[in-house]
Amino acid sequence: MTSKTELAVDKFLEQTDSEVASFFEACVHCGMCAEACQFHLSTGDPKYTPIYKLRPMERAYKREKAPFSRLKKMLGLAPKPVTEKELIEWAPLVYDGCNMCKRCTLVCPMGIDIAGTIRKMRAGYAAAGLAPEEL
Amino acid sequence: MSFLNLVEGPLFTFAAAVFVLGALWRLIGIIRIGRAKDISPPKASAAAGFIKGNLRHFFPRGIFAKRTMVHIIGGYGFHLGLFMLVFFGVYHIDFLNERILGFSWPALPRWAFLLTSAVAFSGLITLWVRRISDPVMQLISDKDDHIGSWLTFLVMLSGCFALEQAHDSLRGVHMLLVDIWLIYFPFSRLMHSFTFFLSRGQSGMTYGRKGKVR
Amino acid sequence: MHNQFYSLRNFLKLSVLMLMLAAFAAPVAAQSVRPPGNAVNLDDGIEDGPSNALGDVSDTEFWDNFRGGNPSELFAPAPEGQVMTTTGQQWRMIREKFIRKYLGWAPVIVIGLLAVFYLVRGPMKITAGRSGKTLPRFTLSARVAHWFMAGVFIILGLTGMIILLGRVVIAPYLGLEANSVLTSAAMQGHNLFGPIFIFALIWLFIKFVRGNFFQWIDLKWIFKLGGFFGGHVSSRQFNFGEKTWFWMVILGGIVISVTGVIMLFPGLVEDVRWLQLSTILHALGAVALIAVAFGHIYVGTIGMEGSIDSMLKGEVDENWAKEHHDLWYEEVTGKSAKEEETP
Ligand code: HEM
Ligand code: SF4
Ligand code: SF4
Repeated sequence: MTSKTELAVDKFLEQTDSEVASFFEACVHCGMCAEACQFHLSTGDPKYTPIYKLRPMERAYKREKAPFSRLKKMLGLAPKPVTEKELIEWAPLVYDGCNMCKRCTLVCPMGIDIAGTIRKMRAGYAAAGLAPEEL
Repeated sequence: MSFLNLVEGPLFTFAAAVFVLGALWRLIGIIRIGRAKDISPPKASAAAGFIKGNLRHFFPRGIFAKRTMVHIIGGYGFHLGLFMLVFFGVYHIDFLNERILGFSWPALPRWAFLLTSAVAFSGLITLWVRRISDPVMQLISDKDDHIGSWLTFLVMLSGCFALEQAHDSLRGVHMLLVDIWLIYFPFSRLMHSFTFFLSRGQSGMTYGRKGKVR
Repeated sequence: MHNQFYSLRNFLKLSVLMLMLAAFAAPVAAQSVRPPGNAVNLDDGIEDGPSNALGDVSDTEFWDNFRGGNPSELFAPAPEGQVMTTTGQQWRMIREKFIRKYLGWAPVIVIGLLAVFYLVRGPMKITAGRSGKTLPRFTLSARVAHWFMAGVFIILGLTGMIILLGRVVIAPYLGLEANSVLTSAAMQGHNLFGPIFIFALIWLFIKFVRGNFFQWIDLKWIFKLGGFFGGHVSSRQFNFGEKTWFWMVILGGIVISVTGVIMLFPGLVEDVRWLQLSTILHALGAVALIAVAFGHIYVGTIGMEGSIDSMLKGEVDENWAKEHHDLWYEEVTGKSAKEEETP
């Protein structure tokens, strides 16, 4: 039996093509995207930092798909697996925390397309039936 | 074999091999995943977008530049400074010439080398203290960020410590840290020095295809 | 620049050597010394001085002249026969008998006092507890300026201490060779980070000067000893202690910077006594700042609950603000700091 988490993670991995992979590989955690996102600017809450909204998907990629991920898993250095609790916690960020304005991409030194990746992340939520009901 | 010979000889060769092979493996690994098919008809060239995306993100955008000024100045100061130090410091040119390349090029004069070091150090310190003193940065930073910053800092600091060139042991410590840095590089976020062009380029491709590079 | 630096060092070393030679030779010279014919030459002076000093004719005039170098003409060629200055003697006395011997104890004593204070009084808690509500206190760029200075200050403090005290603290335990390696490293580091300190100082000044000017209300703070021994003290954005620290850093920093630049570029001054004064002021200023910095770090971390938030998050708890900066709290919020003391 496949759990919701597995369904979501599988979809995340499927959605992570070389473009999204290069985003996760290149992000330097510089935090500049936060300075562009209206959700962060108007609330002051760090959780609205654009790259942070992608965290579960990033973790899934780094644990299961990234180069050296098998080596890191063997050595116990891979990031922890994604949990359902976490996915539920992130749902408001993924669905209500981004209006696809793409300002973060303008400011990002790595040109990371957060909005496009959030859309792909939503596909994972939908596949797992974790998307908010009203949608 | 003396300590210096070890860290400049076999250990350096090993570290350099790990660096080159590891970095290649990772880059190829990312590219091999392949891009998802885009079925919409292209409005403009994706390849041009790749290049545009890469160039576009060298320059800060007006409306945001002010808010991120400290970061931009620190970032450029550090990266350009380090680049100049590594490739135009006379000791580095000599080392590369003798060990690897077999040719050399003009070096920075000593005063410029020291000035550049000061700029690079200032930049790196700025970037790291910003990382520890802001809730956003505290939330998104992980161990890798700190290890990367500190390893790079220690490599630079040990290099600075060896500047008198009076003690082999100081040069040895610098080289040992360089070796560790080279080995750490491909497995860490330090790889952003290579992956940045993939990331900028691919988002440039996606938007280039749609006719507007962000 | 580089050459001058080394020639200065050689010059000082030579002075010391000569001084020792002269001290040996002087009693003998009183009876039967003939000036060596070539004593004017620095190279030959060392070898021929003492052996020829056992000659036959007494000549105190020679030795007076020998030591009569003019300290104000450091880089000018000395007149015939004049080899060294004697101001170095007093400088050496101050450096060896006072600075190297006692100065290093200042930070140690401060740490000891802080430890005693901590054990006796414990940390200052936020008495009303944390409210959970916060007020913005420092912008990100101010925080970065602060930590930038703190980082550079720590690097310079450590390397400077090695340069100053390595000979008396490190060498006896780890040996001369280890000390020589450490000092060489520390010297290069110190020289490179010195100029960065000037930049850090300017940055810090710009970001923190507002609110740091002394005011009448500071007098009350002084009379109540800052509230460290009980009692409530009022203050606006910065209290007297913080203001004093700010101005110590700025003024002390200027002294250290100016004297540091002089030592880094000795060609800037003509008179060797400026250099000697510089080394002394530089060490005094630096050690004083280091000593007080421990007090600052204590209050900023374990000494006072809630302080570090202002530098790590940029925001402080409202109750922290009410208790330590009540007037500032009232200015910022427009509310009274006395009411609604509920946690
Ligand atoms: C490394 C340990 C340090 C810690 C934990 C620390 C902590 C702090 C904290 C918490 C504040 C804010 C106080 C408030 O909210 O009013 C502060 C302010 C300040 N610190 Fe530090 N600090 C450190 C090192 C330094 C150093 C080395 C310097 C200078 C050489 C320095 C200079 C200042 C100045 C000028 C201020 C501005 C406030 C004032 O006017 O007093 N700090 N520090
Ligand atoms: S701006 Fe870009 S590189 Fe920086 S943290 Fe955000 S996504 Fe990562
Ligand atoms: S695209 Fe989304 S994450 Fe990026 S700035 Fe806009 S709202 Fe924020």
